[in-house]
Amino acid sequence: MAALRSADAVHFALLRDTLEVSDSLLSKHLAALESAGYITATKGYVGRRPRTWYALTEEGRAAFDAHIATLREIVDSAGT
Amino acid sequence: MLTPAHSDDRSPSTASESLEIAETISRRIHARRGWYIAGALVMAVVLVAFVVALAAWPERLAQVIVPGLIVVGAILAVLGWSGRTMPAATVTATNRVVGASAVLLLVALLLTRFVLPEGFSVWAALIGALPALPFLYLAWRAGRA
Repeated sequence: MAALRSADAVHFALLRDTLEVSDSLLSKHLAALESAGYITATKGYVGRRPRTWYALTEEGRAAFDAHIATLREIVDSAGT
Repeated sequence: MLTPAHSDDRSPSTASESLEIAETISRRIHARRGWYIAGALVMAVVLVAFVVALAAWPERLAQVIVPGLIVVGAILAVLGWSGRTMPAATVTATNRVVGASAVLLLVALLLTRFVLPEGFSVWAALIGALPALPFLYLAWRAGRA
């Protein structure tokens, strides 16, 4: 979700390369996020190459931002 | 693989690791976008330089055309590679920008050939900026993507 938060949409291969995970593991996690309504998938082509682009939904964006805020609170409270 | 080493989600070390990983991933995505913006800006500069050079030294067209095409091809390859991090709308915009820039380049070349006097001038620089404008727009748009 951090990768998707940093761009409007990111396609599968770039997500896989950025996160350094296998295709199957990434697909599993993307499917779970899509079921939860946190991301959307858009299929298209770049030239003749099929591409699937993933983007955060409003709900996904809010959930990720809340998660990051919580992590920062935990880190800050440990520091004080 | 980029995952925290610890299993306890509430521990500060896990939270800290998770934040660090999120920031690393964000930086990686932004780095690719940086190449795209840089490619668009370099293309704009190359196009201006090309038109101004032709206006100032028209007899050197044969010498600059092949290196110019190689540089343009390389920049378009960089845009294509780094465009993987761009949303589809920006990729579509790239294709339109290349087309618009090609048309403006032709207009600029015709103006420098048939309207402008030979040699460098402010007008040559302004007309040289015409084909660069679509790529400046692309760099701005990619920065906002």
